[in-house]
Amino acid sequence: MMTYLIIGLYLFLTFGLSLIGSKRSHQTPEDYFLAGRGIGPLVLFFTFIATNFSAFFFLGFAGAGYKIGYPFYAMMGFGTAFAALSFYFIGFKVWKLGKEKGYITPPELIGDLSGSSLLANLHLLVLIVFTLPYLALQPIGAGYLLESLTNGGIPYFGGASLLTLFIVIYVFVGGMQSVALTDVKQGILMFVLMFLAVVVIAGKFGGITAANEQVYALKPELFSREGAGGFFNGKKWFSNMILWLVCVPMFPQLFMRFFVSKDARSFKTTTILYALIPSFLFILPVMIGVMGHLSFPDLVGKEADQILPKMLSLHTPEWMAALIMTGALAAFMSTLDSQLLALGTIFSRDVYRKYFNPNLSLAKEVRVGQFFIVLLSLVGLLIAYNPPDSIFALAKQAFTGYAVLFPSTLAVLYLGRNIAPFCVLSIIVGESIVLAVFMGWLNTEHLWGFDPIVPILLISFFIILVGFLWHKLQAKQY
Amino acid sequence: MSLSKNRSFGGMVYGLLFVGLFVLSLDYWTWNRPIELRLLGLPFWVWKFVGLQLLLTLAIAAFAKFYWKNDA
Repeated sequence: MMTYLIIGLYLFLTFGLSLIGSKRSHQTPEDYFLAGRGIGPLVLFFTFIATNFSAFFFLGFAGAGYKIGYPFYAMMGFGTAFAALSFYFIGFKVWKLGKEKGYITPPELIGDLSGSSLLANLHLLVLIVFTLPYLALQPIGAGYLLESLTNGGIPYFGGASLLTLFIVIYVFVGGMQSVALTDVKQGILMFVLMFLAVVVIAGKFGGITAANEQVYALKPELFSREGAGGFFNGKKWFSNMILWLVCVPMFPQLFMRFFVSKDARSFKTTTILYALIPSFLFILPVMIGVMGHLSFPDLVGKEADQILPKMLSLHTPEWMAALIMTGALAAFMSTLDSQLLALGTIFSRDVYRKYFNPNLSLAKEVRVGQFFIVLLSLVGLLIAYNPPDSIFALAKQAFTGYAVLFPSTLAVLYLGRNIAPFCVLSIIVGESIVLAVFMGWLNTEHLWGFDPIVPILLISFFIILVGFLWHKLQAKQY
Repeated sequence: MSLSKNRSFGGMVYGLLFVGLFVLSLDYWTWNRPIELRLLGLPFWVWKFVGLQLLLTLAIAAFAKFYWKNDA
């Protein structure tokens, strides 16, 4: 009963905040989709991290901590912090261009700057293909969570559907204003409750030091530099460090947040804080995963991904487990609401308005966006109906797919219009490699021991460099 | 030194700083060392990464304050 009460209270609070957001929201696309480009530093920071840190952070990190150990923290922590640099050379330029030219979506910016509809559409297609499965991760995680928390009282798909419905309602009502306000609350909750989870669970084993020492006695490989089973080697480590720098700014829900900053100061503050947060936040779920071996040895696959709710259910009273898991719910919700809003915006402006109704009024554009938000949520639920074995594996395919867009985005922002054909080629080649790896036609042995992102970036940047030099040569000749 | 040359030099310095921090995060030279548990039962190299991330944050803060212009 306490579990249902806490979850209910949390959802009520969220809905209340979303109604405040809806009152501030006016029915213009810029206001509905981008909160009028007026988000200040604190809200901007929280909306970035709440959006970025999702089910992958709560369940995936704990699951990876269980399976791999502490190197996962180091890789994700530093890799994510380093990705803050992209807020300068990608994000800030995007922000300035957005204010100057009124861009709302990534394909819009790419298409207008490059002068290439083909490039814009290719960018759009990649965003859609990789966001849909990644979007499904959130209801999958929520479904697992609610089922575990209520001991099956709320079945997996029922929980996934309930949460999705709730999110659709508040995104529908208030757009980015609602999403940003709820992100502040959800971001704070994630930090506080994850910290509480570590303290309480470690306390059951005599404290963090004692718990780690006990796990070390059982499974010292979790504390090694390469991780359990030799998971990381030098090339894999390098690949993962590079991956976060290039994929994070390409997530459509984060890219669109580059547009919403009120001013340069807000942007800079967010960049600094974004680099700081992973250093002490990311170790928390990984630590719980590592400690999981003391209570649940020999878990594999989907079972290992559920180590966090399992540990909470076993070691904390019902009310505390429910309270802490609302932090996880917050993580799912803050990412799903942003993904739905981002994709809804993209479908509304870059598909419907562009190809079916160029004379669409501003107010109707918002309505179309709302329609797509509902439609996309149903598609996400359809994917969640038969979930994959590993949350991490699914998320990583999306990350590499997004990262393919990085070289061409950089080129469009800094090299001008003539580079468009080479950007198109770089995306086609890059995504072909992603597909080949996914289908099993290529593996790390074929890629010199690196994860796909390294050869993809090398080849993509080479293609763009050739294009740049070729145009320079042409310009000199004329 | 002209203003633009100053900025180029500054950009190069920050670029090298960030590349240096990235190289330190690879730390291949420590990979086969024995595990030493330190504070909170965490291995020494985990604390090294905490320190590296804090250094990175300071570097980004300095970059934002002294190099990153609002009209960049």
